[in-house]
Amino acid sequence: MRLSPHDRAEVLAGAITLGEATDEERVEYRRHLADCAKCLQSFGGEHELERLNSVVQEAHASEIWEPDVRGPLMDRVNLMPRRVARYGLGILGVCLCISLIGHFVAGSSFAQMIRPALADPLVISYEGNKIVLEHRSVRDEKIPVAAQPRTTVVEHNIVHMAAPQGLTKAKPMMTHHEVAMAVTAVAHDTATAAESSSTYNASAANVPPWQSALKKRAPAYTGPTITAGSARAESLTIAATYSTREAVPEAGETAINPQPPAIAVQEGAEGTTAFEVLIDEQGTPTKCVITKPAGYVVLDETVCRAAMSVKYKPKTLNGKAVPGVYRDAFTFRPPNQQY
Amino acid sequence: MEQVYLNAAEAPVAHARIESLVREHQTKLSRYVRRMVGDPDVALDIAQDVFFAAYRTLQSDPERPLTAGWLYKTATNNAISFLRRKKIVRFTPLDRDWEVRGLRIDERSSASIDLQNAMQKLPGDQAAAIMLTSYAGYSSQEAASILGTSADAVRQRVCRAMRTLRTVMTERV
Repeated sequence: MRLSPHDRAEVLAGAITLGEATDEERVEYRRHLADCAKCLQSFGGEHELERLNSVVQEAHASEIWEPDVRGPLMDRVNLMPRRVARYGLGILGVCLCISLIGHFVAGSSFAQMIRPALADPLVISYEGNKIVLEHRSVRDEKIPVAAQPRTTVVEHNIVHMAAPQGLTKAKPMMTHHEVAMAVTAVAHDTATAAESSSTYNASAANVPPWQSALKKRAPAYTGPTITAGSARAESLTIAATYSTREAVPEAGETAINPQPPAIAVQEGAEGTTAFEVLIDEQGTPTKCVITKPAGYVVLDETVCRAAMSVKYKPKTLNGKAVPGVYRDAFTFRPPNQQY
Repeated sequence: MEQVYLNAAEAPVAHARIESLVREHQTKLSRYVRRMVGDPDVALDIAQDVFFAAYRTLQSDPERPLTAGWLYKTATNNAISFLRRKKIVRFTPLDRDWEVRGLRIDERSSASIDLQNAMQKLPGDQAAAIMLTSYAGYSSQEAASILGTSADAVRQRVCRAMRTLRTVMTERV
């Protein structure tokens, strides 16, 4: 392809700049500049071109930057991922993605596996001398008794754990069992309340020692029907609880005496454990279900162990013993916590 | 057991050859790229990429002849790609010497600043032509083989680049 005179002049100017132009090319360039003032003004003469080239070479000569590429390059070479590792990780990632998608799509046990364990209450079953712990939904449990309306709800039994005498001494740390029947009394009908009141009068003579301790402490968290320091209102509620419970321990409420191990005190375990005990016709506990875990398995297990170790009075229906459920709750507090 | 190399004897060969290439060309190549892109950090990255590409090439074929022209060709392509990307987000400099900040203080001679200011105004192909020939010392024929064009085209680009440099120097005066 033949160049135009101006393009040819550019090529010649470039050759002169680089010092590659022959004598014939220099003459050709001079002739073009003699006829083309525009190119002369734009490119300049031969000396101007050589001067520009010397500017570039002078700039090149003034550079003293000494970069080091070798170190970072060798690090990169040494850290270059190996083929097996690269492909292996890729294949592993693909397998993991497929597995996850399969689990979620199929709704398999993976979703159940990652579900928080506290979503289901803890079920502690006693089979002979063996204790079986499992998480099971209470709604699925078929309680072999007819649902009965409850007139009162026991909310808390406060257990104060005594400070351990020695951290390495592994023995039960509870010095005494203060069961403060801090009750939120929810009377469903006034007739039942009246009956409860009369029942209290009949049993008022047998006030257990833990009740006197309760009078001194006067817990502030008691329900709205109980005023602080009012032993009578508190006792009324307790009596109502006795009269309406389906199945109760034979030795009374204090028969269930959970003894947390020393490790619970050392770890500062606290919380409320609500539980249900299934009682058969003979008054023997058959199963303990934790309906509200305390957050510490050791506390839940302690409560269930204590609840399963006592004998109960079975529920009676029309004078006949039937299977029943005993519901209760224990609140564990550290020894130094006041209320 | 993984097989990264075709045989065990090829690994030292590739290492030895790449070390030789780095020792011989790292300074010139890095300076060349710094002039092209105007940023020493970017220049180091590009130079490192060039040598790493050379290493990968030698890994697969240790006997392949890798010349300086191959390195400059790869570096030029990488620099031109960077300049094209940079053009999208390029900001207008507030001061005249903004382009020369990639140079060290003791490298900022009048000629060096003029050249760098002109470089920032040149298209990638003209910058590569003038840097390969007048700066790096290649002939127009060698530069043409590196850039994949003809020698006349290289000379024409050099002429146009010099015209820009001349304009910059005139403005500065």
